[in-house]
Amino acid sequence: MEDFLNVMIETRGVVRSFPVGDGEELVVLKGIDMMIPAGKLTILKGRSGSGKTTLLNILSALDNPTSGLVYMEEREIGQMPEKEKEWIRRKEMGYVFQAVALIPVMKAYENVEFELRLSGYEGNMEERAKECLELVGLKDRMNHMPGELSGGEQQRVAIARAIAHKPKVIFADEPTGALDTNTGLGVIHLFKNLVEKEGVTIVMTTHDTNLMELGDVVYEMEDGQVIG
Amino acid sequence: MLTFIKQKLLYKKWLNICLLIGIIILTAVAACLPMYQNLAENQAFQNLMKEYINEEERYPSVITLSNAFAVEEGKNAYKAATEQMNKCDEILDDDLHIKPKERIKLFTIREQKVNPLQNAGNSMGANNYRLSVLSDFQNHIKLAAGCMFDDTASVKKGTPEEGVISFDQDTKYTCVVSAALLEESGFYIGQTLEFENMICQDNAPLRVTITGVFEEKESEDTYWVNPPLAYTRHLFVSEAMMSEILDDVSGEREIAYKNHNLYDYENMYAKELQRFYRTLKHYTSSGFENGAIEWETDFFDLLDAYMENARKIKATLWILELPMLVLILVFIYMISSQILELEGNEIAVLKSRGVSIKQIVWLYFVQSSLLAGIGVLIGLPMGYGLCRLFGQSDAFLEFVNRADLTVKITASTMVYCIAAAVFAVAFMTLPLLHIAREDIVSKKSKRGKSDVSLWERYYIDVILLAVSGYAYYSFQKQRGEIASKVLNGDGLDPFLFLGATLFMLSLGMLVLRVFRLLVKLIYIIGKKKWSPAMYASFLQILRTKGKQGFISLFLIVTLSMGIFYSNIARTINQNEEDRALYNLGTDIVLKEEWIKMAATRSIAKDKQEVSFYYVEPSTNLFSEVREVSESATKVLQRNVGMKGAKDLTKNGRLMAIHTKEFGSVAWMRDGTLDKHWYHYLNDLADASQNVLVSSNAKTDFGLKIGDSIKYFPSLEEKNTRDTLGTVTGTICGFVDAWPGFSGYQTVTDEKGVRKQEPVYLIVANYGFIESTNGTQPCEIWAKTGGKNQDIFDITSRDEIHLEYSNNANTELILAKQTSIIQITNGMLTMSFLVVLVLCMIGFLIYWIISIRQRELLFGIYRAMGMSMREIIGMLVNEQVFCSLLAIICGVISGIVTSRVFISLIVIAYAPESHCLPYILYSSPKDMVRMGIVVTFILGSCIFILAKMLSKMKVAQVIKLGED
Repeated sequence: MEDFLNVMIETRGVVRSFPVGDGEELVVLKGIDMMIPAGKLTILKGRSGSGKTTLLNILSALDNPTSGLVYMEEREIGQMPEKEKEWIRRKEMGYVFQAVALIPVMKAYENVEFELRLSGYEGNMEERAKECLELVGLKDRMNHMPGELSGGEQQRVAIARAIAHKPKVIFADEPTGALDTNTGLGVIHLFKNLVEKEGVTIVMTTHDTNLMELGDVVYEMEDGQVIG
Repeated sequence: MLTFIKQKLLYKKWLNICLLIGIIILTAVAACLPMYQNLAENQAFQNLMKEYINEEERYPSVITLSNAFAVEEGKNAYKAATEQMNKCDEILDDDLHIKPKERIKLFTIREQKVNPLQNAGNSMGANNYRLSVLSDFQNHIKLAAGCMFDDTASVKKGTPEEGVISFDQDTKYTCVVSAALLEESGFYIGQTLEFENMICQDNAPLRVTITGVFEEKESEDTYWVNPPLAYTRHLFVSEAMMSEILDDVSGEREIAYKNHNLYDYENMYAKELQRFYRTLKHYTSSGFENGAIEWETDFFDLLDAYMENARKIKATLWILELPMLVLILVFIYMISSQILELEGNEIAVLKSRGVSIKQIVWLYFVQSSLLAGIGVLIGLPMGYGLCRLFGQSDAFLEFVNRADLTVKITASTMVYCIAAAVFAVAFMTLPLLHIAREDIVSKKSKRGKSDVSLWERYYIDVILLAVSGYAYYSFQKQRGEIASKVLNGDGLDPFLFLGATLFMLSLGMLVLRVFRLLVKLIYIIGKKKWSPAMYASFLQILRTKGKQGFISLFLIVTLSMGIFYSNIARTINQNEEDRALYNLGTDIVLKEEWIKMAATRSIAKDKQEVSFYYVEPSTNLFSEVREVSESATKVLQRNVGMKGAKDLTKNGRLMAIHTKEFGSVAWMRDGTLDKHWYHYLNDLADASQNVLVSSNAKTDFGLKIGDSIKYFPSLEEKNTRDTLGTVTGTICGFVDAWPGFSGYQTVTDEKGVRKQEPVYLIVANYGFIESTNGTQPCEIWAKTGGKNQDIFDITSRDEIHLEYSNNANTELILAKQTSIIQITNGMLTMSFLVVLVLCMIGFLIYWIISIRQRELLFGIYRAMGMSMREIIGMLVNEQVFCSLLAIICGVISGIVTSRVFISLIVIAYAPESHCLPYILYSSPKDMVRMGIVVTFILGSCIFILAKMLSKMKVAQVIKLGED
């Protein structure tokens, strides 16, 4: 029972295939069974094309599995109606993408605040936004437009935005992919910090072997299957 | 490289197709311009020629060369003259590069005194006559009586008493003459004339016998530059006989010739006309053959009038089309900037890898030239089509079928078309210079910098508005001068149109600036309350002003231009229609020929006084017309003298009416007078001697209501037979305008300057004039209710003799036929349609691109949990605050510009002062048309965008963004 409580997301036989023309299907995920523990940093590793981003999209309710089930805290999210999924994405999930995905017409502060608006955050939005930016060390630059920030800074704003509304899970797809090693390490330490301080669950993908040891749980993927 | 370009073009095929459409429209409009100009000029020229033929009843394009000289005895005078004429022909052909369709050569021996031999008593005394030869004479005449000069053998011999023509058998020489000569001289066929001073070799005077009377073979034969009736002094002999006579007669001989060169004006176009004009101008200043040969023509004056017309046409065309061409170029610039912006990354990458700016520019230059080349290939025939199509536009957005349009593709068409293509290439490559200078680093660092357009930062809208406002102010001050210039043949100042365009643009920008502040205010007021979607979309609107500014401006300009063009066209056409109807007073005005009768009565024993009176024709015309038409009335119109209290006498116009009938027949535009004109009719009907007087007489005569005024036959027209005496009327009102009364007449002063003078009007009760002065000749005014044909049927009956018949429809058609009005309608229609097409494509493209560019952003929104509805809501909000705002700004700017500038622009079309002021008309139909197009554009835009977004797969988009 305790084990079950500690699981944030669980997948059962998740298959994802894409039509490739001529009626043929390309199977990218070949029956994935895995558990993502709550309050831990889980890393999905694997070479490119191993299916980790596809899996992450399914875990984060951005994509639907062709077959199989995905549970998030007892709710099956794989075949959930779009509306409910949107609600979950809005309230309970946060995202950090490989390419910096800030909204270009909003300042750093507004990007964070926008997430709070979207999730219907009930506390003081201004305070929370500033707090998050402070957490990622960017309080001084909160009034800058994304274009005026460096890549690492932008990624930190994205992280501040992802955690602002206190989601249950943060999904990060190659968050360090576009950053140099040091900045990348900084981001991972930030994640670790968040897991420890705020108790958030983080699922991230990476192909960088240096980062692997920092994860609490590491799943290795190859050819659409979890091998370790 | 070509394959690379091909792939590049295909990769963004929709954008490139739009670009191509822009180039095609540009080249087509440019090619259409000279063709349309030629068409309009030719039409103006042909109209001018027809007018001349109608008025003068002569062939218009004739150049006559003449000379008179003496030839010594022994020299062949006929040969000498012929040689000189032939030489002149050559010079003329060389100068004009065109051969006449006909050369009519008249050779004469100088006038000599002639004595008729037989029955000298019948003739009207001795007179001077000349022996003449007319080239190709026999092919253009037929004999009315007698026989040809060389055919006397065929005529029966005998005496006049026997009823046959007799000839003096001794006569060697024979001639034919015109009927007019016989009539004037009293000569007859068979009579021999003796030339007193021309002595032949046998020492006897020269004798010539008249053998026949000729007349023209076919009526309307252009050969008869002077009709046969004009030859009242010419005895025509054959060419051979002329030579013989010249050999026979001794002594020095004075001879003369006239060489009429007829040119086929129906096939003359701008190029030929220019050459004619230049050549004739040269002859005017230095004479033909340095003055050795005399020359005359009416054609030069006609060409002068044509040149004036052509200048006006050219000016009008450019004035109307220049803003259009600029707008299309801006469109091309806009689309190619979009393409380049999308390709900006590739360019930056190429540059970072060491490709030089020169090479990049060359690549795009070749690509643009390729597109421009295709544009020319399609644009040229399309321009031809447009020219044919808009040559047939009768009114704004209305077409008629004119089969006889001669549209020609000339060298200048090609030049314009290619020049347009070159401009297009320049405008396509221009944005590149800016983009090519960036490398990948500066491009990335530029992202997210504040995005405010130049015009907003430097208040260019305010500056331009001030400039155009000043232009308006100064033009308004010179209003009178502009009108008098136009009246004297100058075109409208192009700066006036430029001013209007600037005004439209700057006003649009200013309104946009103000509206943007409003949007900002709305955003700030609701900042805390906005839903996330609204919040994001407001930030999008407020922070991407530069990019949106361009499409907003484009929308503003296209829409305001559309409205402005439609308003100009409607205003001109509707006012012309109003004036045609107003000037006549009603649909049809007829006047029968009235018969004046004389009556005598004794006033003293041996003295009788003769008085005159008119009798109405007993044709029943009035009652018949009244029966078929909606309503009809009799109106007396004539010139009178007017005399007020000040003892000042001036000429004016009298109109005597039956008030009640007149009210239902005559047409008057509502709102022209200070109160409804029926009130004035009522005032007039109050007392029989009441009169209404035109307002201009009020100040000039110093009149007021209640004053009496005398009117009587005008001094110039007064004669003892006039049936109108002096009538005294009481003034019951002053009117600014009245059906059938234009208020001004155009006069030419001694310097030849055309200007306008006011005319006075006096409106009286017909019954009163009839009771005091007897029946007066009246016009019949009829409001036809569309039954014009019925009235024509009545008036075309044999027993009806009309002095004149005018109808408003014909007047209107004439007014609309002037080339300036026609080209204005054609060009405005074209511009309006082009504007709509550009607006549609420009708008759709802008939004599709803008969505494409923001796909990743929408993906992020979706990932963050925003629903599709929220995102579409965002777009709708953007459309409302960007596009709709721009549309509203465009409409406001179009309407305001119309109100401000049209009153000045219409001076070009109606420079004359007139009682019926030109008022601004706008057609709700056009506005609805534009509304439909705009709604269609907005609707399809949102539809396409929604469709695009709904197909979007969030996961995929985000992934794409990463790549």
